[in-house]
Amino acid sequence: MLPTLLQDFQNASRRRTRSWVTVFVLLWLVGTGADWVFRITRFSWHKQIVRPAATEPSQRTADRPSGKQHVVREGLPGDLAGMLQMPKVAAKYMEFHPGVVYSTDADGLANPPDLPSEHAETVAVGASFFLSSGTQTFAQALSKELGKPVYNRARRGSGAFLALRRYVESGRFRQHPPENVVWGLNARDLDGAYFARQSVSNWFRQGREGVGSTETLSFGARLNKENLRPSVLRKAWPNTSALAKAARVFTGRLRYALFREWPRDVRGDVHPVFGPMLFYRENLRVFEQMDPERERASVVATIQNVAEQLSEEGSRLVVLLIPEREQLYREALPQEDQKHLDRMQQLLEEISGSLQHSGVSVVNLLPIFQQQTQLGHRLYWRDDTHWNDAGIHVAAEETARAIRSLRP
Amino acid sequence: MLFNSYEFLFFLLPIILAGYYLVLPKPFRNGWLLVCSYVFYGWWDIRYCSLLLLVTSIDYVAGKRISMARTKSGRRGWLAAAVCCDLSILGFFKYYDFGAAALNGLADVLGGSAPVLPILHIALPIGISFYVFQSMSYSIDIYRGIAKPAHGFIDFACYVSLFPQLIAGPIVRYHELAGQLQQRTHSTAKAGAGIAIFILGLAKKVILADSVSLIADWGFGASGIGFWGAWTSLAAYTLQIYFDFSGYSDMAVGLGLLFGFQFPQNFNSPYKSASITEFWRRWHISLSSWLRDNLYIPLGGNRKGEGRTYFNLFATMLLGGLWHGSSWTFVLWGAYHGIWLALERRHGKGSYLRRFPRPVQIGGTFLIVMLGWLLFRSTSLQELGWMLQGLAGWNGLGGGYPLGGMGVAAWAILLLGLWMVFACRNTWEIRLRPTLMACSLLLVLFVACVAIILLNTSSPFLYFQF
Repeated sequence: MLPTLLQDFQNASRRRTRSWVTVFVLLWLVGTGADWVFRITRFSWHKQIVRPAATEPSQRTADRPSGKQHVVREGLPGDLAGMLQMPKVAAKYMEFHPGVVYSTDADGLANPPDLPSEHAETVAVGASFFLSSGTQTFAQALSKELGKPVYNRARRGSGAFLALRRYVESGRFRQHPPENVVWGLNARDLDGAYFARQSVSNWFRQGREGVGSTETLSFGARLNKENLRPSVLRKAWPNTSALAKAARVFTGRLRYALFREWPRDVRGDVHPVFGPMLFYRENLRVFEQMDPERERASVVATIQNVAEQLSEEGSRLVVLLIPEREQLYREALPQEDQKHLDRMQQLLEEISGSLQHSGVSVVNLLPIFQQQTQLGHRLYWRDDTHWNDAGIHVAAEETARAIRSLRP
Repeated sequence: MLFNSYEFLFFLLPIILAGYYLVLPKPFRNGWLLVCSYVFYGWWDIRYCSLLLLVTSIDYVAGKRISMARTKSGRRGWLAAAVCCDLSILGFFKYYDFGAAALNGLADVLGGSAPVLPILHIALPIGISFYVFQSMSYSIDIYRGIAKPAHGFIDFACYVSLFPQLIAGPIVRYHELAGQLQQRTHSTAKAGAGIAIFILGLAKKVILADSVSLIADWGFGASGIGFWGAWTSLAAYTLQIYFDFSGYSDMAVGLGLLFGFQFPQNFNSPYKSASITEFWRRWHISLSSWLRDNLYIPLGGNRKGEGRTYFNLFATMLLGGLWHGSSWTFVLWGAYHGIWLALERRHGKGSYLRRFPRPVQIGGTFLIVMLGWLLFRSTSLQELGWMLQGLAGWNGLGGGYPLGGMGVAAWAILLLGLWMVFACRNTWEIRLRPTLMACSLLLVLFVACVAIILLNTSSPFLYFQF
């Protein structure tokens, strides 16, 4: 038996069915094509898969001694305000962000010492928190506290692991391993399963041998097989899709207009002390899935491994545990969203305790940040996931204290 | 890979279609579908592909041997060998842990100290029940003489692994597809109808099934659930399983048409059935007919007396229940339907309500089926107990269940779903001409489905970690 629908199509004129199919196929191809163009141009997704062949570190430094200049314009909205995709609604939560100009050298290091022959003895390695976002970066603030230059090695949007991995594989680390590596880890990234998958010793071994975890292709580019795993692509493709962005923007606006419901990703609330603030719902979802019991062992084991490997190269690891804004301004969140925050506090305390016990230096910023918040100091932006000048200052003070205490 | 995923809709499917229609000449098309099907399946775990290949090879060799054997005993021997190998593979991967746990439990009751068999925590390869049955049907069809051996390994491997129906059916038997593997027509009418059926199936899965699943999930597993909450959850699950499964079958049929294949109908408005006997002629037709032809009839069917007929019905349904999953709740579900079928057989293959008007018979059957899904959905006997208490009203009417907190959309979709299963035509009966109006409607439906899929699988651009 055939579906009636097929019979209807078979009975229709061939011209009509042909144009019908053509319309569908064309629209679908245009949508698919546009999405892939967006992925390549906006996200440079291909660079995660194929990287240009590396040249010798000494050559790279000599060829491009000055590296790249980065300009962050002033007055840009915070990332949460931008993500809300509703400018009128976001305006109630926005505040002024100053602009920043900074340069990175050929190894991606910002904030170098004044003399080119010098090498900073402390390097701050992390993700977007170390790039942002007040009048100074964390590395600059730490440098002031220590009275010595501090390199900044931060990569936005790629996570703390990739930032550290790229750094230890770089020529600079191999030629001049610093005395201290300050590694910033965000609370939301403490996913035990993710930590357990990191084969840390490989990065260092390959770094020493001068070979990455990549294969040489015939045209000289290198293929990063890790990023071609289906489990990675399954997440990466929808996250870099213009269609997904359009779907989020459209449904977000529609739901707000019809039901005054916040979008899936961002919600706005009024804090009793600090006033209107935006929050990142994805953090709350991540917290919901985390289980201190489960995560702690893998996270601690992996960080210990990093510390041991760094110590073999002559560097000391200082772990900086950075809380998320939702943990500090929980009073503003609905009861429903607050229920997993205690578990996160427990996780940070347990990780910090276990690391200290095993001799790894760690700064858990949550208690001091909570204390400062109670005193009425706002340490995060209203409209951005990251810390502001005050937050950076407190973090730098605490880190400097930890580094000074390490000195023989 | 799932049909309702980004990687299928915007990566693999365009590549498969381009390769099939634009790049490869006709003789290579089955080979191309074979390669793509293995990519589709290996996307979960590349190791599963070797199992698929093993099952395929066993039946390919057995099929050849059966056709070459000169004596009946030789043919029977090769068939028995193939069926044993297939069922051993299925049994090991799907039922070993279940069987070992049951045996250890029994030994424990009998006073044994150590476990008889170790629990291996075997990961269940996706779709194994479907493709083992499908592959096995080749040896059986050749043994029965209703199909000739495949022309080559590629054609046969393509049949077993054909991605549209690989992981969730319909279970297409070899003799139904043998001719199409050799020669099939491709036309814009088939492609157009395929697109339309695929989108309708996608909408059933993404819009209807996934929405009502929210209501179902709220109820199952909640202790102290009230009367209304329990019945609403059960109704929601009854709709969810139908829209989910039949939606997936529709997508398979639609995709098949895009490549020129015509698969058999798998669902025919099952909730419009007036008896359980009729329900099983309308629900998962490809499985029930497979079980009828390859289990019920070989057991003797209705030819060995009344008592044996009831036993055969019961045994077939019990094994059918076990086919769905390795848990006691599935066994109970199979037994429950087996008993109803036997009772109706005793009553002349009809409902006990046959004196009443048809709507009453349909309502009664729907109720029986719903209570069956209660067994099917419960993950433990404890959960089953909670739901039964709620359904019986032991916990009062409301019972603290967030009836109002589920959102207007989920409720609207629940009512829409009920209306659709009782009053609307199903995907195989829908009339749809290739007009501008139909085109626009389906486009809107497709865009809505894609938006929902992407909303549920993507997170915002702030953190994307490669």
